[in-house]
Amino acid sequence: MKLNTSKMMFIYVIFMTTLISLSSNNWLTIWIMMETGLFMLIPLMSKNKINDQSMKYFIIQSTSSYILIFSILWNSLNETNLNSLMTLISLMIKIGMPPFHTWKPMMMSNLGWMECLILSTLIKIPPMVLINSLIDLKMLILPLTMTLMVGSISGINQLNLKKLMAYSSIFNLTWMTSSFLLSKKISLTFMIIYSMLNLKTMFFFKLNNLIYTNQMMHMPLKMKLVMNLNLLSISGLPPLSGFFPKWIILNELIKNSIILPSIMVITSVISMFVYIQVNSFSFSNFYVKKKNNKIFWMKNLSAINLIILIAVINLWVY
Amino acid sequence: MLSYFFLLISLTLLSLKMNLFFLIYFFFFMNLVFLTSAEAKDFFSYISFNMGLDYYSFCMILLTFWLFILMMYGMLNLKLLYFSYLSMLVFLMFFFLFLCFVTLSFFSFYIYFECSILPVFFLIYGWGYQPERVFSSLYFFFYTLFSSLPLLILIFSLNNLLGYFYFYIDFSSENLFLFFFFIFSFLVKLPMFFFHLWLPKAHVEGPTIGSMILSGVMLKLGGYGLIRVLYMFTSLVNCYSFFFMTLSLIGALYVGLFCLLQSDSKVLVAYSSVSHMSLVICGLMSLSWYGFIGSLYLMLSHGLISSGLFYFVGCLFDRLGTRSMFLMKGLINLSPSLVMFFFLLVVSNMSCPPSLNLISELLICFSLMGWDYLSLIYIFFTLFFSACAMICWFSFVSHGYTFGLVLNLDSGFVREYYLFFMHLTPLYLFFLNLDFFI
Repeated sequence: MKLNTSKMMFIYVIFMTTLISLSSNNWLTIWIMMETGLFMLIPLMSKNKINDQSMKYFIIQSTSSYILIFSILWNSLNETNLNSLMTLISLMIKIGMPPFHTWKPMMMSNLGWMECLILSTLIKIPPMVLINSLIDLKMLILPLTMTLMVGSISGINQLNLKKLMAYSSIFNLTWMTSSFLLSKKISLTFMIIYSMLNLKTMFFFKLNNLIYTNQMMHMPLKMKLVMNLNLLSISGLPPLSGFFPKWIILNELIKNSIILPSIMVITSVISMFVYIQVNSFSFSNFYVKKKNNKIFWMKNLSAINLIILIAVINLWVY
Repeated sequence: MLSYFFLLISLTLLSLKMNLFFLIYFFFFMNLVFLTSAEAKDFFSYISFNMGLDYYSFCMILLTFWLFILMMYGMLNLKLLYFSYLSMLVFLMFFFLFLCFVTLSFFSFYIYFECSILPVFFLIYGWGYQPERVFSSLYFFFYTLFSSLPLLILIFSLNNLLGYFYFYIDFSSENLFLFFFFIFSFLVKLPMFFFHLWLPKAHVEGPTIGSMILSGVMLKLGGYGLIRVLYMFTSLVNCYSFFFMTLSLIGALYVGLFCLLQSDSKVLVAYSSVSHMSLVICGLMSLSWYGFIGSLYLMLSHGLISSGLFYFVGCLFDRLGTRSMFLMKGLINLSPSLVMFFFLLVVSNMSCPPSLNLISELLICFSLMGWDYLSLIYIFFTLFFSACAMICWFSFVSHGYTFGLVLNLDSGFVREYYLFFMHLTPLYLFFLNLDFFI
């Protein structure tokens, strides 16, 4: 993204909308903020020659927004169960939760990496706040389970990294939603660590201009290793820092239901397989080199940080 | 314990840059300090910072220290292959294993148990020999991960139910599912028969030091976990132990027979470790004092011996480029001293008198005799067949017509002899101090 003043403004406004929606106390403000975020994202999307995806995004998002405002108005008249179901469906369309997820991988495969990042972290927050204030966990168990299944299984044969990251963000929707349902502190922890890891991964992809997995073949080992650890950290493998928020979420969620945590844990194995499959392209080419590989160790501290952090935190907490 | 922890953390940061020999000296020093300052007690002592020692963890930590020192010497032949990453991975593995044996709460134990999978996975994935290593490391990774994930959920729910969940908490359960899923991950890690399929694959594709540490310490995590867990389910173990016992007895017999058919020597060692580990399961499931002590001894001795055997296979592989028993022949003509150490290793793997293996197998036999007399038939045939396989392997490798490949052989480095010697000495000296725990 070039340092373009209008684009800077769009990004700032998106930041602002999420912050306002986090601190607002009425529905209409959040709805307006969501709309603002949508209209700020569209010019960012359409910077490429192809303007197709911004139109698609607009249609999908505005449909869900109209359903949402309709259900808000209806809700203000009389509260029924059907209302909150409708709200749920509109929010599900908005954040791309299965079975309304098909727009998301398609959309993300046409975007740049930074827009992908905004789409998978920032834009999700206002709908999440609504979910938190309206819907309880029992109603969400079925869609959340479906999200886990779809997000983990459909990522298996992806060669396109953008689609893969789209499916990973779909998979992490469940964790995000349940963290928002549990408490504010947990959701903050999850959002911070998840978006940091996502930022690091996507920035890495952007810097190296990666779109397909087989492009990683010829990178040096250090970069491969850092990226692999990042991806595994997103999936939440124990020694890495991505496990920390997931541990907290599981620990709290198990007080409410036992089905959802077990499905979460089992499907996270599949998603781990997906991430490792990305690596297998890059690592299987790592043959015996009979030369001295000098490695500057100070630069590797980022990789170590990732591993040590969780151990230290774990020891202090328990 | 706290000081150890901080030492290890600082060392982990430094292990990328530090000279390997300095690291080894440091390990020796730490081992010495550990040996002299700590001692094995009946119940947890030296408790600080959620860590403590009793004699199971004490023995396991000594084994870990010892094997890691040997492993660092063993990995010197990978000096040109991203060595700083390798030493960091090895060090991380050590760090997590140490913490795993030293922690007191189930959750921390589970975390470090899981953490130790990742470095081994990278070790097999990155430093293995053949392209098949990708598949087999994935197999290893997901087999162990899938089996241990129910344990995570159980630990969370019990943690929630009981308020806190530490080792030897006063809790007993009659729930069969709880019992099964609690021990399932440990049974896969140990491997019990039927869940052992990941083991030969991971060993075949892994580098020498990878299989050394995998069979030396990682398998023992399963036995250690069983020791920690089984007391909660005593009534269930009394009811259902026959299932696990018969399965592992028959499995040990079958695997012992299967060893006779192997041509790949690494697979042979891997399968013989499966058959030894099923004896550990039998000893632990009998819930007797003899069984527990025998299992602990067997874990120690088998850790040393299988690590030594894997190192021997690795030494030969570095020179000959093969592990096949049909190609490595007539070693005794060219390097009799190497073959002598090989003979000592093989003979102590089939538990000949002065070694610790014999004592441990005798203790397990006593415990099984208390459980049921008929199990002795299986034990007899198991030991017999594994001994047959070992002797067969030895005669294949050392005797016979000298093959042309053997001409590539030199008579071995000092480092290698040192390693064999250090694998064997604790095994034979332990015999003199068997009342260590009594």
